[in-house]
Amino acid sequence: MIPVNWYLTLAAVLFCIGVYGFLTRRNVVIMLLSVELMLNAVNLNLVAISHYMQDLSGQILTFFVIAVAAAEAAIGLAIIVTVFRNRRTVLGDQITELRG
Amino acid sequence: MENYLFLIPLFPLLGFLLNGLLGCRLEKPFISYIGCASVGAAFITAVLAVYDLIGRPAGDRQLVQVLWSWMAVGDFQLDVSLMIDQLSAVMILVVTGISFLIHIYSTGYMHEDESYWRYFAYLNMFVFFMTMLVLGANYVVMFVGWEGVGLASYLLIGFWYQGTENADAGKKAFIVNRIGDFGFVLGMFLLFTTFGTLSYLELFPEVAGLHHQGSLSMNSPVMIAICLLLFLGATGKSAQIPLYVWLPDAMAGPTPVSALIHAATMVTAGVYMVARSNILYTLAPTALLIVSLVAAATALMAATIGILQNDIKKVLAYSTVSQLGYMFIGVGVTAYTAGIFHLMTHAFFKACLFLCSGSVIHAMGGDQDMRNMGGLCRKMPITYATMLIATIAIAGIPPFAGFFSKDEILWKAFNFPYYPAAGKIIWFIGTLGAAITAFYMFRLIFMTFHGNFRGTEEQAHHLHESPISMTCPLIILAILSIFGGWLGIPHLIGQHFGHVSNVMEHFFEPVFADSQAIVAAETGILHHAPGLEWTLMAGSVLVALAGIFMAWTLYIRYPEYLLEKLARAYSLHYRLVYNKYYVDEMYYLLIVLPVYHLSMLLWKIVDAIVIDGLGVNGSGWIIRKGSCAAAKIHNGYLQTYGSFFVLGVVAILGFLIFYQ
Amino acid sequence: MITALLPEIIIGIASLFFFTSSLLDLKDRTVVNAAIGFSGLSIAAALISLGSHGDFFYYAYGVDRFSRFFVLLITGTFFLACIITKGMKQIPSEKISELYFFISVVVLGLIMITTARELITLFIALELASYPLYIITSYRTGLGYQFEAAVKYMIFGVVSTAFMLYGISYLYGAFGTTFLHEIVAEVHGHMDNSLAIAGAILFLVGLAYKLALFPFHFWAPDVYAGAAGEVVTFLASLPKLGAIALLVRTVSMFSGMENLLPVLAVLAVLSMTAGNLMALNQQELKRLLAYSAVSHAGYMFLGLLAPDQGGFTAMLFYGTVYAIMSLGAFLVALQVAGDEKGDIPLSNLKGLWGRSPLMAILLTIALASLAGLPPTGGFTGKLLLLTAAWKAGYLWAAVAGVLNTVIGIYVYLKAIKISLVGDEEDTHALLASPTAIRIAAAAICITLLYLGITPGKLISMADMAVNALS
Repeated sequence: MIPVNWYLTLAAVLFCIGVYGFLTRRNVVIMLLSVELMLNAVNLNLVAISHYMQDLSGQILTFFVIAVAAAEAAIGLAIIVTVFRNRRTVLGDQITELRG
Repeated sequence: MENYLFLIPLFPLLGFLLNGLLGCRLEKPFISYIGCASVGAAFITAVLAVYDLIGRPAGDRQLVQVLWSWMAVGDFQLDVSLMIDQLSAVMILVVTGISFLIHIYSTGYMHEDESYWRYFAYLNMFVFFMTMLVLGANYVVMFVGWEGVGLASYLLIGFWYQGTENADAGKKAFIVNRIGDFGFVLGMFLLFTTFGTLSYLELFPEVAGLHHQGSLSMNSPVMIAICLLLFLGATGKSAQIPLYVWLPDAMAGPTPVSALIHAATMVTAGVYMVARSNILYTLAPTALLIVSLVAAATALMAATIGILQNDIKKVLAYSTVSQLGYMFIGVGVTAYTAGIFHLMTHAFFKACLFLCSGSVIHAMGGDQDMRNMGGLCRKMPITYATMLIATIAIAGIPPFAGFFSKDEILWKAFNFPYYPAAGKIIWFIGTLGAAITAFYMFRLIFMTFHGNFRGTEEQAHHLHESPISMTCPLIILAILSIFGGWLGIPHLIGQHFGHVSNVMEHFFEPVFADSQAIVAAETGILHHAPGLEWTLMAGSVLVALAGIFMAWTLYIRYPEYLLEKLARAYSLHYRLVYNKYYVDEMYYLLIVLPVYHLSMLLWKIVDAIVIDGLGVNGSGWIIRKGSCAAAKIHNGYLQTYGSFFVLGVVAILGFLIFYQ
Repeated sequence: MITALLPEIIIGIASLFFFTSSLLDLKDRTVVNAAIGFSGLSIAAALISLGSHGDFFYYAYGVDRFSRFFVLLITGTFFLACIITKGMKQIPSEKISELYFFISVVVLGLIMITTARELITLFIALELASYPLYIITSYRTGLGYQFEAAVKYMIFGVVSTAFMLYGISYLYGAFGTTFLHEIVAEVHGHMDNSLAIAGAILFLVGLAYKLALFPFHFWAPDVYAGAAGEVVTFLASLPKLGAIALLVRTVSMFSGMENLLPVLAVLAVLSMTAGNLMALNQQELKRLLAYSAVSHAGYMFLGLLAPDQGGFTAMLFYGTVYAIMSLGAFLVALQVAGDEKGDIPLSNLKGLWGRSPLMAILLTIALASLAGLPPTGGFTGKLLLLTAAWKAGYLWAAVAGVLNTVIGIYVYLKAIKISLVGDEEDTHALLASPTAIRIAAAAICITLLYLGITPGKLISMADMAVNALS
C-alpha cells in the first residue's frame, strides 16, 4: 500500500513541471498544455486524498476538473487560433504589443 | 440662530453650481452678480450670526448646528455639523468679508478674460470650502474644507493654463500640500485612536479633563506626535519651512486669487487650525517650541529673501510667508489671541497690498517687474495712497493695524512661558525680521511709485488709475488696515486713553481659557514690568523706522549708488575703499553687503537648491523613477508576467510554511 | 423558496434569451434594450430576495443576507453597465447578442460565487464567471490588440485557476470535506496545519488574481488597454464584486491562521504602492484605470486585516463605492473614446467642461472618489478601511495607505485638471450623449456624493450582510 504522501509528492512534482513549462515555453499552445499538466496534478491530488479519506466528493470534483479543463482547452485554442490568423504567430514573445 | 448657520456655506455653493453649470451660457454681468451676490449674502449671514453670538452671555457663545449624522459605525460616531464660536466668528467675518471685496475687485480685474465664468465658479467654490473649513465643528469637516480649498487653489493657480509654467506651479502647490495633508490625516487618525472622538466640543473638554485628572501628563509623546503631525499639515497649507516653496510659485495665478487665497484666507488655515487645537498644543510644550522656532526661522528667512526680489508679486509672496511665520510665532508661544489677531490684520493689509499690486500690474499691461516701474504715484493716486497705508501697516508703525498685532506677538514671544530663553531668541529674530520687512516693503513702494518711470513708451502711455470696481475694495481695505488694529490695543496703551480695553483678548478669553489656565498652572502667573513692554515697543518701532530709512537712502536718496556699488562689488571687491560717502560706505560694508549676500544665499541655495531641489523635486524624482521602474516590468512578455505571478506565490508560501 | 432564487432564475432566463437571439437576426437596439430590461428586472428580483434565507442542494447553496447583498450589488452594477455601454460602438453588430449572453452567464456565475457554500459548486461558479470573459475580451471592431489581450487574460486566468484548484485540493485534503460549514467547524484545529495554510493561500491567490492584486495583476493593464471599452466596463466592475465576496468569506474562515493577516497586509501595501506608481506616468485612460484597480485592490485588502474591527464592513462599503466610481470613470471614457485604435489618451479629455459639463463633473467626482477626496464615497470608504486597519493594529499598513492616498491624488488630479482646464478653443464638437447615459451620469454623481455625505445607510446594510457571515 503506497502512502498518500507519495501521491501528494508526485502531484507536487507534476505541478512544478507544469509551472516550469509555463514559464519557459514560448509557444502559447505548449503553455496551455503545461497548464493541463498542472490541472492533472490537481486531479491526482484529489483522487489520492479521496481514496485516503474514503470520501467520494474528491473524485466528483475530479470529473468536474476534467470537464472544465476540456472547456478551457476549447476556449484557449480558439483564442490562440484567432491570434494566429491575426499575427501569423503563436509565440508568446512575439505577442507583446500591449505593454507599459 | 442655529437654523441659518448652514446658509453661510450654502450661498457660495449655489453660486458655484450656477456659475459652473450655466456660466458658459450667461452674460458676464450676470456671472458677476451671481458670484458677488452669493458671497455677499454669505457675508451678511455671517454678520448676523456673529451679531447673534455677541448678543449672548459671554460664557455661552457657542452655537452648533448639526446638519446630519455622517456615520455611526460601532464607536465611530461623527456628525456633519457647523459651529460658530468666538474664534470661528472672527475667521468667518474675515473670510467672507474679504472674499466679497475681492469678488468685486475681480469683476474689474478679470473683465477681459475669456473664461470669466470658470474663474468665478472656482472662486465661489473656494469660498464654500473655506467657510466649511472655518465653521466645521470637528476635524473631519475641517479636513473636507482643507482639501477643498487646496483643490480650488490648484485650479486657480493654473487658471491661465496657456503657460506650462503656471501648470507646473499648480502642480508644485499640489504636491507640497499633499505632503502636508499626509501629516494632517495621520494626526487626525492618531487623535481619533487616542481620544475616540474628533468633535471639538467633545474632544477639547475631554483632553482638558484628562489632564486635570492627571491621566494625561504634560508633554506626553502621543500629544507631541499629534501636534507635530497636525503642524506638518499646517506647514504645507500655511507655507512654513520646509514646505513653503509652493507659495512664491503660486503667484502665477491671477492677482485677486493671490490676494484672496494665497494671502488673506487659505494660507492662514494652518494658523486657525493650531489655534483651534490650542489645548492640544498647550499640553505639548516641545511641539510648541518646534512650532515657534520653525516659525521664527521662516519669518526671518522669507523676509531676507524678499529683499532681492524684483517681481512685485514675489516680494509680496515672500512677505506673506514671513508674516505667516509671525502668526505661528504667536500661536507657538501660547499667545493664541495674538496669532489670530495678526491673522486678521494681516488679512486686511496683505489683501490690500496684493490688490494694489494687481492694480499696478493691470496698469502696466501685465508687467510685474519693479525695475520697469517707477513714478507711478502721479498716475495712480488712489492705488498709491492705499498701498502706502498698507505698507505702513505691515511695517509696524503705530497706530496702523500691523503695529498692534505684531507687537503683541513679539511681546508674548519675549515672555514665552514654557521656554523663556528660547523666547528671547525668537523675539530677537522677530524684531530683526520686522526691520527687514519695513525695508523691503518700502523698497517696493519706492521702486514702484517713486523716481522716474523706467518702462517702455507704450506702457507709459497706457498707465491709468484702475476702475472704481477695483479702487473701492482698495479703499475699504486701506481703512481697515488703519483701524483694524485698534481692536487689540494693549492694556498698556489703552489705559492712557480712558481705559480702552483689548477687545480681541477679551473676546477670545473663553476659547483659550483652558489653555491659559494650564499655562498659568504649569509656569506660575507672570507679571511683567510695564517699563520693559514700553521699551520693547519703542524698540520695534525704531527698527522699523530704521528699515524704512535704509530703503529711503538706497532707493530714493542715492538710487544709482546701490546698483553701481553692487555691480562693482561683484567685479572688484577691493575698490570699495574708494568712495566719497564714507558713512554710507560703512553701512554698505556692515549691513548692505552681508544682507545682500545672505539674501542671495538663502534664495539661490537654501530656497532653490536645498528645499525646492532636494526636498520637493527630489521626492518627486524618487516617485518618478519608481514609476518608470514599475512600468518597465510591464514589458508585454507573458514569461515576465508569469514569473512575477509564480514568484509571488512562492514567496508567500515560503514565508508562511517554512518561516514559522 | 422560489423568491430566494429569483435573481438566479431571471439571469438564467436572460442568458437563454440572448443565446436564442444570437441565432436570430434581431436589431441591435432591440437586443440592447432587452439587456437593459433583463438587468433591471434582475435588480427587482434581487430586491425581492434581499431578506430571504434558505439552504439548497444539501447545503451546497445557501441564500443569506451576505449573498443577497452582493446579488443586489452585482445586478445593480450589471444594470448600470448595460446602460453605460448601450452605444456598443466598438462591438461588431453580430456579436452584441453573444456578448450579452456571455455577460449574463458571468453574472449568473458571480451570483453563484457569492452564494455557494461548497467547494465544487464554488469552483464551477468561478469558472462560469471567468471563461466567458476571456471570449468577450476579443470582441471588438477593427484590428486592434484585442486578441493579444484575450490571450494574456486567458493564459493567466487558467494558470490562476490551476493554482486555485491546487489550493482546493489541499483544503480538501486538510479538512476532508468540500462543505464550507464543515470546514468552519473544524478550522480551529487546523490553524498550523501546513496543508490547510497552503490550501488557503493558493485559494486566495486565485481571488487576488481576479481582483488584480500585485503581483497577480499583470493581465489587467494589457486587457484593459486591448479590449473594447464596453467589454472593459463590464470586466472592470462585475468580477471584482464576486472576488470581494469570496475573499471576505474565505478570510472570515481562515483569519485565525498564523501569519496569514500580516502577509495580506504586505500584499495590500505592495499593491497600492505599485498600482499608484505605475499609474503615475500613464497617458492612456483605460490603462490608468487598470493600475488604479491594482491600487484599489490593495486598499480593499486592508479591510481583510480587521475581521473584528469592522474591516469587512468597510470592504463591502468600499467595494460598492468602487463599482460605482469605476463605472462612472468608464462612462466618461466611453463618451470621449475616438474611433481610432481604441486607445483613449488623456488628451481626449481636453476641454471636456466646455464640451459637456455633465461629463466633466462626473469625471471629476468619479476620479475624486477614486483618489479618496472628500466629500465623495471614496473618501468615506478609505477612511473606514484605514481606521479598521489602524484599529486592528496594522498601523504601518494604515500609514502606508495614507501615504499612497497622497500619491494617488496626484494621479487622478492630472486627469481632472485636463478635463477642467483644457483649451476651449481647441475642443472637438460638443458631446451629445443619449438621455439614458446622461441620467446614468447624473445618478452616479449623486450616488457618489450621497455615499460621501450620508454613508450611514449603506454602512448599516453592509454591516447586516457581514453579520450574516458568522
